[in-house]
Amino acid sequence: MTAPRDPSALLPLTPAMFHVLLALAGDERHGYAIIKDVEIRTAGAVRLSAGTLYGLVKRLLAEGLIEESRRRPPADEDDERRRYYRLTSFGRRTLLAEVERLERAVELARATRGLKSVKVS
Amino acid sequence: MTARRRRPSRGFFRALLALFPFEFRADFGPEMEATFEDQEREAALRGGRFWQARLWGRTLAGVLWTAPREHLDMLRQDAAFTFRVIRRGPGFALTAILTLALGIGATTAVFSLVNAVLLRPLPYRDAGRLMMIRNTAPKTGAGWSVSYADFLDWKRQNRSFEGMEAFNLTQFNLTGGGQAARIAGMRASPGLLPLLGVRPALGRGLLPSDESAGQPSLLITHGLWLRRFGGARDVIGRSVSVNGRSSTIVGVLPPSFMFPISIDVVASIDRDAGLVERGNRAFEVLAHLKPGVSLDAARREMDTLARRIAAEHPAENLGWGVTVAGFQEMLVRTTRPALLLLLAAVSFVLLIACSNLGILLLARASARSGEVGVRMALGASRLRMLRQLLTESLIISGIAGGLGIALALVLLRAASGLLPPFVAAVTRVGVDLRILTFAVAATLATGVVFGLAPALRASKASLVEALRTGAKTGGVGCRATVRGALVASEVGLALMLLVVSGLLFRSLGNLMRVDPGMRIENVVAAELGLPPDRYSEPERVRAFFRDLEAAVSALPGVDAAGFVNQIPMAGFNAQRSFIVEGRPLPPVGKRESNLAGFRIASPGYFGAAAIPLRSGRLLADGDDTRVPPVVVVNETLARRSWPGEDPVGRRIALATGPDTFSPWMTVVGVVGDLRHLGLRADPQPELFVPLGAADTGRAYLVAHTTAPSPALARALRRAVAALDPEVPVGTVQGMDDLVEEESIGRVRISSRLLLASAALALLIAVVGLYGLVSYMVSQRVHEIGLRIALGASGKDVVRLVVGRGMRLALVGGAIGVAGALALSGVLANQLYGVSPTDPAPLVGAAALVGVVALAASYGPARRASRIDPMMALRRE
Repeated sequence: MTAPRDPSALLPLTPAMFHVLLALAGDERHGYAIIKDVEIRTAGAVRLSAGTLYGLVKRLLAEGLIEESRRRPPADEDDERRRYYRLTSFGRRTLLAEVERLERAVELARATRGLKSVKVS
Repeated sequence: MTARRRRPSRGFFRALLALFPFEFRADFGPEMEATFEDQEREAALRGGRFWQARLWGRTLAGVLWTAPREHLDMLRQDAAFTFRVIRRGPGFALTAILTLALGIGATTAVFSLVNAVLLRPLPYRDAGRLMMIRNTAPKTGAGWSVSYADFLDWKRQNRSFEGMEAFNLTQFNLTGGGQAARIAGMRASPGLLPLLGVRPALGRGLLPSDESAGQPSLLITHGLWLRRFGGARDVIGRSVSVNGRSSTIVGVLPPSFMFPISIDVVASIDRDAGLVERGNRAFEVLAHLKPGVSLDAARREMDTLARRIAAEHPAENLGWGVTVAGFQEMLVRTTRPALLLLLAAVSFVLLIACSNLGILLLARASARSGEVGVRMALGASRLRMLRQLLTESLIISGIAGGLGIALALVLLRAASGLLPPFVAAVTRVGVDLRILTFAVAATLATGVVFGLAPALRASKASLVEALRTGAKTGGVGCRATVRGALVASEVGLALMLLVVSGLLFRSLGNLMRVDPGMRIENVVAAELGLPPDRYSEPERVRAFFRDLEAAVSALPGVDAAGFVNQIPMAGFNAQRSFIVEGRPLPPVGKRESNLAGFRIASPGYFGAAAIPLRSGRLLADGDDTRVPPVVVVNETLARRSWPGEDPVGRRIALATGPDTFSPWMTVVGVVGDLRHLGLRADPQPELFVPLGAADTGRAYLVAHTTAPSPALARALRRAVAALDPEVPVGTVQGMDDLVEEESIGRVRISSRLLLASAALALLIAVVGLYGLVSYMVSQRVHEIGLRIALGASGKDVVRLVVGRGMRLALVGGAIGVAGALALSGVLANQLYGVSPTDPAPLVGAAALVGVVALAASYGPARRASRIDPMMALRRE
C-alpha cells in the first residue's frame, strides 16, 4: 500500500462492526470470546450468532481492519480450530474515527434546543 | 448425557454451514463449529432447554441472514471480474453476445410461430377430434364442397362421428341499421356453434326450428355488433334486411370467436330455398370423431355411406367420393412446409451460434490458462476458479438471452406474414414462454458445457506448467480438431441456407414473371351486391349496370370500366359443366369432368382488365339479349374442346341439371388465358357470358385509371350511392395487391426470411473462422517466426495460414453441398420453375462462401507474415 488509507471512507460502521472492533481494542480474541465480550459489554443487548460474527470477520479481514494473530495460548487451553484476531493499526484508527464521529453527533444533539434532557452516561 | 445432546446439535450446525459458499466454509467452517460448541457448553451450564433453544434460534437466524449475503457477495465479485475482463477485450464478449442473441431471437420467434400454427389446437372445443368431411369429384378426385341433402344423410346414418354440422360461406347484403353493406358470413346448421364450443355472448344460438321459420335468424359477431349497432343490448330481436329478406338478430357471438374465413354474420339455413338440393354442393361439413374411433375406420364408413347414397341418387352422386381429414390439418397443409423450412433454418442459426460460443470459450480458456495459473498460485482455490469461469459464461449467455427476447418480439411480427389469412385468422401468435425458456436454456447449457470443460482443464493445470508456459500455449491436439470441426460445420450450414434462399429467390423471380393474363397496375375492383327483391327483373339489372358503367367511366382518370361476377385470385371460382355440339354426350355422372370457370362479364370488363383478344370478337353491347345467345371462351377451353380447329362459330351448352341443358350458345371470340386460381396454378378453361343474360345478384366493378388514384375508392362509392344508396360496395382492392397477396407475398416473405437466416449464419460462421485462424496464428508465433528466420517469405506465411483457413472452408463447403442436395426433396413443393438441384444458386453460394472465407483468413495471415522472427524466438 502506498499512501495510508483514509478511515473515514468506511464510516459510519454498523453497530455490530463497531462492537466487534471494540471487543478487539484491548486484547486478541477468538470468535467465542468476541461474542462473550460484546454480550457483556452491552449487558446482553447485542448477542451475535456464529454466522453473523464470521460474516463480519470476513469483511473486517478484507478491509484490513483486523488480522489474524499468530500468538496462541498454551497447548492445554488451545483448540486448534480456533483463530485469534487483533486490531490492525488501520482498524484502530478507524475505530477512533468512528468514536469521534459519534461524539460529535452526541454534542450536536446536546446543543439542540428541545433535546436538553439527552445525557450520555 | 452431554455427549448425546451435543451430537445432534453438531449435525444441525454442520447442516446450516452447508448454506454458505464453499469458500466461506473452507475459511471459517471449523472455527465456527468451535465457537458454536463453546456457546452450546455455555447454554448447558446455564442449564436447560430454554437457553439451548434460544441459542439454536439465534444461530439459525444468523445463518439465514448471513449465508445469502455471502453468496451474493461472491457473485458480485465474480460478475465484477467478468465485466473487467469484458472491458479489457470487448470483442470477444460482444461477438459472443450478439451471435447468441440472434440465435435465441430467431429460434424463439419461429418456434413460437410453429407452435401456434402447427402444434397448438384450434380455438375450438375438442379441436383434436374436429374433422372436416368433403366430397371428392369424379375422375379428378379434387376436394369439393358437399350438398345439404348429402350432409343430412351422412349425419343420420354415420356411427363414427358425434355431432356433424354444415356451413355455407357467402356474402350478405345487409340493410337496416345504417348504410347498406356487403358482409361476409355463413349459413350454418343449428349445431355448428355448439360443435365448435362457441356460446353466444348475448341472446341465443341457432335452433332447428329456425330452418323452417320462414324468416332467417342471425347471429352477428362482436365486431359487427360494435361497428354497426354501437354495442346496443336491445339489438336482440331487432329485424334487419338480409339479401332483401327480413331477418331477426337472435344473438351476438363472443369477442373470442375465430373462424378461418373472416365472417361477420352466422345465419340459419332456409330449407325451402334451392340451397338444400342434392346437386348443389355448397356446404362444408365439420364433425367430431367419436372417442375410440380411428380416422381410418371413419373413412371406411364414410366411403360405404357415399357409395350407398350414390346408388340411390346416381344422377347427382355417381362417382363422387368422400374424404375425411383433421380440420387443422386441412388448414395448415399448405403452410407447414414453409414453416418447417424456416424452422430448420433458424435451428441451424442457433446451432451455429452455440458452437461459435463454444469455439470462443475454448480459444479463450487456452489463452487464459496462464492467468488462471497465476491466480491459483496466489491462493485461489480450484473451485473458486471454476465458479469464476462459469459465472463468465453464464453472464454472457444471460445478456444474450435478454437481447434475444427483444429480438424475438420483432422477428415474430415479420414471420407472421408467412401465414395465409385463413390460418392467421384462427391463430393466436405470441412469444411462447416454454420455447423462450428452451432457447435460453440451450445457450446457458452451451455456456456451462463449453465454459466448464476449459475451466476444469485450466484449473487442473499444474501450476508450474502454467506459470512456465505463461499465456502462450494452451489447447492443442484434440481441442484444435474439435474447433476445426465446429467451424467447418458452421460454414457448411451457412452454405446450405444460402443455397436454399437462392432457390427461393429464383422461384420468386419466376413467379413475378408469370403473366396473370390481365392488366393489374392501376386496376381496382370492388364487389357490389344488388338487393334481389328490388332487382328481380333483368331489365332493371341491365339498366343499373349500364348507368353505373357510364357514371364510373366519366370519373376523372378512369379510362375503362366494366363488370364481372368473379375476378381472378379473389378466392372464388364458380364452375359450370358444359357440352360441345357435335360431340357424344358424356354419361351421367361424368359430366362434371367437363368443367369451365363461369364468368358473367360486361363488354367493358375486357377493356378495363386489358384481356387480349385472340380471334373473333369480344362481347359487345346488345349481346345480353341476343338470340341465339353468344359466349366468349379462353384459349385453354378452345384448345381442349376443338384442338387444331377454329372455335369461332361453334356452339356449347351449359348443364342446368343432371340431364338438362341451356340453349346452345355460339362462340363469338377467343381471349387469352387468365390465371384465375393464382400464378402457380395453370390456367383453367373459362367462358364468359354477357352480363344481364344470366342471373346476377353480385358482380365486381373493375376500373382502370391512367394513374394511381388514391381518391378513386371514395369516388366509386359515391357513384354507386348516387344511383342506388341500397346497393352495398365491398372493399375497393387494387388488382396488383390481390396478386401480391394471393401468389407472391408469402414467397417473398419466406425467401427474405431465409436469406436473412443465411446471411446471419454466414456472418457467424465467418466470425468463427476468423477467430479460429487468428487463434491458430497466435498459437504458432514461435513456429512461424522460425520459418521466417529460416528464409520463408511473407507470401509463404500468408499462403500457409490462408491455406489452413481455406481447408476448413472447403470441408465445410462439402458438408453444405451435401446438405443442400439432401434438402432438395423437402424443397421441391416450395419452388416454382426451378429445380431443387439447380446449379446456379449452388455455385453462387459456394463462390460467396469462398470469397468470405478467404477474406476472413487473410487478415490473420497478414499479421502472421509481419511477425518479427527475433521477437518470436526470444519469447521461448
